[in-house]
Amino acid sequence: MKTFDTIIIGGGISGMTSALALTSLNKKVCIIEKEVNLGGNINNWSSLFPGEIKANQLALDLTNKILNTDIKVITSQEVLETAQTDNNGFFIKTTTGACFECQTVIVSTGYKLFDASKKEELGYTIYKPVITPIELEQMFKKSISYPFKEKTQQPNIAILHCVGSRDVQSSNLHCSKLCCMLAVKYAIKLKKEFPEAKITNFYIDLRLFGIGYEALYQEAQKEHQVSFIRGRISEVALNSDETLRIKAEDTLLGLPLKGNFDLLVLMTGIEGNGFPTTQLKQAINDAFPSKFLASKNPITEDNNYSTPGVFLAGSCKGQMTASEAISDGNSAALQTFYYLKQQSLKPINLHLNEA
Amino acid sequence: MAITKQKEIAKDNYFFVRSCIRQTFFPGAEQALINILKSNLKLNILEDVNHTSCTGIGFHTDIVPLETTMAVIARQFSLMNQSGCSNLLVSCVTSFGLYHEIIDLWHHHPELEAKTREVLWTATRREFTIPTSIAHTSDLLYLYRNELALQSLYQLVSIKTGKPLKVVDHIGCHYAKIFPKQGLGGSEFPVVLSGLITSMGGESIDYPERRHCCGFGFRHYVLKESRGYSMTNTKIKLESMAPYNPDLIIANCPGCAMFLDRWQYTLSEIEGKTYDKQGLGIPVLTHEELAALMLGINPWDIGLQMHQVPVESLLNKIGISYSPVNKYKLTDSKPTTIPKKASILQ
Repeated sequence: MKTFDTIIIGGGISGMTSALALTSLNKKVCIIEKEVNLGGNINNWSSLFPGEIKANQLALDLTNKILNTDIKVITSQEVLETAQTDNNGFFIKTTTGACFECQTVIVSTGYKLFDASKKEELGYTIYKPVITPIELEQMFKKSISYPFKEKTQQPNIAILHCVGSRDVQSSNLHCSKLCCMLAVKYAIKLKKEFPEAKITNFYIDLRLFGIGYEALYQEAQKEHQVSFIRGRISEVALNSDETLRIKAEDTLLGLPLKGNFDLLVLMTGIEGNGFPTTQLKQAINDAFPSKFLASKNPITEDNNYSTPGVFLAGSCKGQMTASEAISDGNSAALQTFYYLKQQSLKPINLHLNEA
Repeated sequence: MAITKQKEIAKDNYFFVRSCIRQTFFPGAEQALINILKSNLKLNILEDVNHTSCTGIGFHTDIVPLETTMAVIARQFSLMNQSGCSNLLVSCVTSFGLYHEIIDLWHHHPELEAKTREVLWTATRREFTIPTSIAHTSDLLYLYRNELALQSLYQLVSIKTGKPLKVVDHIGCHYAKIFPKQGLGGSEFPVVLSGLITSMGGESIDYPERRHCCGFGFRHYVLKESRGYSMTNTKIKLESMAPYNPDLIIANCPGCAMFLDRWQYTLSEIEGKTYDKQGLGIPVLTHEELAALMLGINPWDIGLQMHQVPVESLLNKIGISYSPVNKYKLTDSKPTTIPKKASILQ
């Protein structure tokens, strides 16, 4: 059975960063990734704000760095089973039956997007012109075409914020944090692609917290004439000409709105992927049905899980930007390194000695 | 779709509560339903002549206070208990919503249920248990839609072209908008009527204002001053469905069927036009009337002569034979007054 200092579950940007940091500290590391390629959710995005960094290039750069080290990379496998060993380490079995032992585990299982079809009033998967960022990113990459006629020079596009975020009905009370910025970025990008387009954002309130975000919001309004309406979309239906009939409310004017749109982008919120195995499912914080994992102490020990030797990295704990996820990956690696150092000073097989 | 688990509908043994307005507006519909349930589907359906209005329209118009409504509904349940049934079959969508609303209210406020029990006992010496299940009559027709289709003599298919007729549905707001889990298919895309339509061979048409209120709105209609608001909402629906050239409108709520039917006449008089191409209006049927018609019941025995929009265009499309002469004859074959022709709606 192969043994490692650390097994990292999830090969997204935080998991990869943790792996690179630990290997530079001479630790023996293995990454287990369920998808074919490393990169995780970053593979779904076209570019990252600020700086318009190409998302696939970031994933590729990190992957190449990893491939130039002796980090063991296992892809297309999921963790099936985990158990603690007698020497305070961990046993891990994957879906192909491969077994490994390690002293520490970093969980970096990332996030998933809210399933927008749960909000059936918004018509996702029912009406073709209703899409989520997943489809829009593919449209930007030209992998799929826009769901309106090619001749449409002046598409009327609606972007709805907070779909599955800040939503009692879907049990997701948290703000997904990234979507406001992403929606503004999408509005500008769409406007650049369709200069005659009319773009309207429907929001609860705008949460543009990062450096450069507010400036981007100002740019969207001043330079690209993007509209922002404070209100929710209540109902989406399809017209006979295949355009969308959208009903909404403008809460500032106190008026109901109704209009025809060519495209509706639902800014789906972020949910955690939870722990990878059933054995550790108790780790899921019951207070957050959105399946984000709770660290030992969100202020002072944010990378530590309550089980010694288990660490958390990246957006499995909550919504993060790419830069935050990378920083958190480094932070988790450092905490893991400290723990391994402390363990190396303790007698081996502590459990057996006690017996 | 958000709601994947459909509600369970009891298959048999129902206590039937009638609708005040269905009996008034569409006087053949409920009897046609009873005949279908008892004769065609061999179901055990019980009634009690002493049952009353649920007070729904009065309640939603703020004329009947909540305490009265709760006591009246408690009495209905008591009559159901007396019949030996535990399943309630409700004709009216307003009542269907109100029964669920009161039960939910009692669930959250048991003190109101206790008070209602006290009031009912003091006034009538009656007690009650809450129904095991509550179904709307359209739920039951949906449940048995395939059996009904097998027994049907006609289909929602054009006899001329062999193509399915285009049918738009309108689900009463109180069917699933108050409690989405109580409606088949939920509140956004209920299947209770579209399922019946497709089983009968028709094509169910999705139209933008499918979920919009029919225009009844209780107080909006009852108060003459706001009746224009009621009519405007019906106009929104008709305008929305018109581009699809529907052959038929189906509604499961008596109020909705009434307004989608009657306001077509009123709007035609105001606007000088109809919402179909032929100037005949779009016929409106309730779910019971549709089932009865497909089973081959004489249209005039179902009471279709009481509709404002003449149904003959639909009967001709399907190939249902009917006697124009008998349209306005009473049950004893004596003629009655023939209504005047509308100026626009033919």
